[in-house]
Order: sequence, then structure tokens, then C-alpha cells
Amino acid sequence: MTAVHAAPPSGVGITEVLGIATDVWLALIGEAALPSALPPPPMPDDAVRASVTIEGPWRGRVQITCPPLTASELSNAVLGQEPGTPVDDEDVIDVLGELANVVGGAVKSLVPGSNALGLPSVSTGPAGAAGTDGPLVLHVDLSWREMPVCFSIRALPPHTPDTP
Amino acid sequence: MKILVTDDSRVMRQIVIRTLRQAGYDGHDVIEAENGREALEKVASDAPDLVLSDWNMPEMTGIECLRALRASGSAVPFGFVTSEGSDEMRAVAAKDGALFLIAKPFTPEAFDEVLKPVLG
Repeated sequence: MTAVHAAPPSGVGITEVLGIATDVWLALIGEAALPSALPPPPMPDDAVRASVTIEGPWRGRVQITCPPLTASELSNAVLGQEPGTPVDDEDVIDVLGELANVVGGAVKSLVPGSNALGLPSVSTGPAGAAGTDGPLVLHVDLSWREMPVCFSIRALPPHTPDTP
Repeated sequence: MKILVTDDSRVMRQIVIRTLRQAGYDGHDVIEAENGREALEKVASDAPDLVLSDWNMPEMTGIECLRALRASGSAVPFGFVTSEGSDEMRAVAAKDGALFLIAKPFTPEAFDEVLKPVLG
């Protein structure tokens, strides 16, 4: 399922996010990630969530969510290792964080105004504050090697003088 | 020649080094740094011929490293390999003395285009 929810920032839509996902997957993984033909099953509680924030006139969070097996295989692909090769947590965090960083950077380039990209953050387990804060702007469900990968963008509340 | 690859992501450093090989620059010594501060130290200690640096890093960002290098009198060729490639960042990078900015995701061809004038 791919959908737009709250109003996305100008210039950021499903077509653009799909284009970014395609470019990033082809460049870093060497294979395409395609839109899911069918609604994917819900993400498991131990899903890996890699995100990066965009700070500026528009504030938001770009997140990649996938099951642990998908995260391991993404890591193998990025590292040029055979599928099924055991990957330690440090490498999974590094790879997923970098994927979020590159996707976030590309999304940021589409957002109007002068913005800054935060450092990537990777977590596992049930969606907590870092994964669900702010209204969902859009999400795109992709399939890579028949495994689910979800791209989502959430809007974050604007900073106030009391929240640096 | 010696190339200093600076990125807080070990995986991205590996990808940059792999892309250098794919672009035909596999005969050079490659050294690595995890952030701008470490890069600054390695420029002083290892005298690289080129610095390839991420922009957004903990400890010291790439642009802070570049400014510190130029303030110290270093003219080492410096280019960014970063996930952000806005016109604004390109202008800042150029103003502070960077030779180029390659936006991630990148291709071997993108590397070759900007590295050929530097590495030959």
C-alpha cells in the first residue's frame, strides 16, 4: 500500500520518493526495489527502523522500516556479501543508517527552503517515539527480493523558542 | 598518490573505496578517517594528496574540517562525497575551497569526472 496522508512538503510526493528509492537501491545495492503489488503484512515488532530528520522551515523525519531478515540481507547486498551471510548488528546499523541518510538527503533536496539533515538513527523493536512521532505524511511500500521495505515521511512539530 | 576517505559510516567508506576502484583509481594508497577532526589530524600526519569527505559527521563536520585546513594554510585538494547536494551546499563548499561535491548515491562515472583533473 502506498499512500499520501497529511499534506507533504511541496515537491515531495510518491513519484519522487519512488524515484529516490530506485536511484538509491540501484546505486548502493545494484538491484531495484519495486512498489509492492499487494498490501504487505504488518511490520513485525522487531522491525529495524532507520531514520533521519530534516530541520528547517519544514521539519520532518524520513524513515526506512523493514524486518530484521530484510535488514540483514540489505547489509549483505551493500557490503557485497553472499545472501545469508551472518551480519553483526553494528554493520546492520551502519548500512540501514546510511540508506536512511542517503534517502533523507535526497528528500531534503526536494524540500523548499534552507534545511539541515540530522545524523541517522537506527533502532529495533516496537515503534517507539522515534518511529511514530508526528503525523504520517506519506508512505511507500516496496518489495526487494520479495521482502518488504517501507519508506515513510512524518512531519514534526515546528521548533518553539523553548525547544532548541 | 594517497587519498584520505572521511566518513563516519564504515560502510560508506567501504563503498567510496569500492567506487574509486570501479572508476579506475585502484592504484592509489587509501587511508580512512571517521570524522572531520580525525581527517584534520591525518592530513597533518599522513600528507594525503586528496581528501574525500562526507559533510555531516559527529565531532567535526566536513565543512568545519575544510575551513580548519584552509585556516591552517593547507591547500590539500578536498572534495565532498555527501548525501546532500543542494545548490546552497555546493556554493558553500566552493566558497570554502572544495574542488567538487559528489552527491550520494553516486556512480563510478561521477567519481571519474571530478577526480580525473586531480588524480590524472
